[in-house]
Amino acid sequence: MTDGTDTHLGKAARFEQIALPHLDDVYRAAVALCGRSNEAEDLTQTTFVRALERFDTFQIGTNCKAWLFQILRNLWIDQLRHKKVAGSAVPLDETLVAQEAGAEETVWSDADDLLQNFSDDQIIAALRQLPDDQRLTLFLVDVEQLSQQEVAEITAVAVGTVKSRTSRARRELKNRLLPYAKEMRLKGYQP
Amino acid sequence: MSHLTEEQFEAILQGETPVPEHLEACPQCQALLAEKRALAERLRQTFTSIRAGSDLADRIRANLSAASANTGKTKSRPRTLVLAAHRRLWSGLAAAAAIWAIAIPVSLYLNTSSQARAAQTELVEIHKQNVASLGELFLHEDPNELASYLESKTGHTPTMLCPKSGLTMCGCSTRQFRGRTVGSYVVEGSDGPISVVVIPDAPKSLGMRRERGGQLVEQPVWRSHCGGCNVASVRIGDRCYYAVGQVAQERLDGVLTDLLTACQCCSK
Repeated sequence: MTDGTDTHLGKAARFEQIALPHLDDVYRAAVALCGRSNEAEDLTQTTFVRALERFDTFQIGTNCKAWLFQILRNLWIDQLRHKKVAGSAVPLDETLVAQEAGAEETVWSDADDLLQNFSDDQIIAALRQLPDDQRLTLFLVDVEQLSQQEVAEITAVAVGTVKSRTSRARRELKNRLLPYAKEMRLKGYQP
Repeated sequence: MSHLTEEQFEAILQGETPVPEHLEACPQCQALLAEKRALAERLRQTFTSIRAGSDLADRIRANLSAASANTGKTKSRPRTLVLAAHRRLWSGLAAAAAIWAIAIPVSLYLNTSSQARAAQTELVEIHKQNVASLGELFLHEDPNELASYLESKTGHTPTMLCPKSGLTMCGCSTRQFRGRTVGSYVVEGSDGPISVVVIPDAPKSLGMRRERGGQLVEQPVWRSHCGGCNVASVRIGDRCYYAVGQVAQERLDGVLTDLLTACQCCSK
């Protein structure tokens, strides 16, 4: 018979074995949300502590990474709400920026080559200007390459919403890169 | 002719549906799809190199150990731990602040240091690739043609060495640096080949040390030694020019001086 401590030590060991290998993935998602900052590290740390608390609810054999992303997203939303209450201007509604991006779209020529001119920091900075759910969705679809169904479960929306959100996010990311392209006088970003 | 809908584009990008016939006949939709693919790929590339630092991993392990040990005693302890973490973060308790003050700079230093070393190694690799493929480099007697070639490949027109510099142009190439396509060219001096690599990344981010240029170069020069090669860099406009070679630093200074002179000629 094991006492409570042994049970918890076993739980912690299982958690470390199953969840901790996804540390880099969770940290990347945190960077997508917070940028490269101490805030991203804190969010990652809090996610793992919260995940351990709730490890009993995790079904072994299911997608642990997706489960961790879900926890991270919920914690992030909690933080945003807290900041909003505290008076910080944090965009929670994706429609705010989607409406702004209504200008007629031009297609970049040689997009592959053109995009190589942007630094990683510029890409992350542009991504951070997207509404929160858009940038997490785009990160999960494009970087983590999760299925739309998985992303829908993580972000608690319908698959159709994931599709439209991804599409809007992609367009918006491009718009947010335009000032950098202009600044660097890149050719090919406009006809 | 109705173009593909956003939903169809997303479905194609997800690999969910067979490619609609319209796409094969429509250059506009092809270009838009290529752009969306390129954005997705560039985003993926950006995050590939991001890793959690060992310091963060250690902190999480320590937290998990403490949480699991305490959870065995009372059920409310994990929550207390989270709150303790918040208190440490936001209230600036003296002891925690001291730990953070030491841990964060050390972690940043270690991360920066390893990334910087990796970047320097990439520069040296570019030089070695250039030297190994001297016969395959794009070569033209007119430096403007070489600059145009690199512009077509990288979107940036580099400053080229003046033909009067006394160095023989061996040709130019595009290489990968930090996951991006960058331009470089090779010149042959009396001591051996020197590669000039043109990138936006500042030498400081590559861990190079700043020195006075001395007699040859008037502006500050950044230097380092990596993989048997010397590396020197100066900034010209919005790009940094890295001279790399198994030659003395003075030879690299000479190349950078010629580059700066060429730059002044161009601006007149």
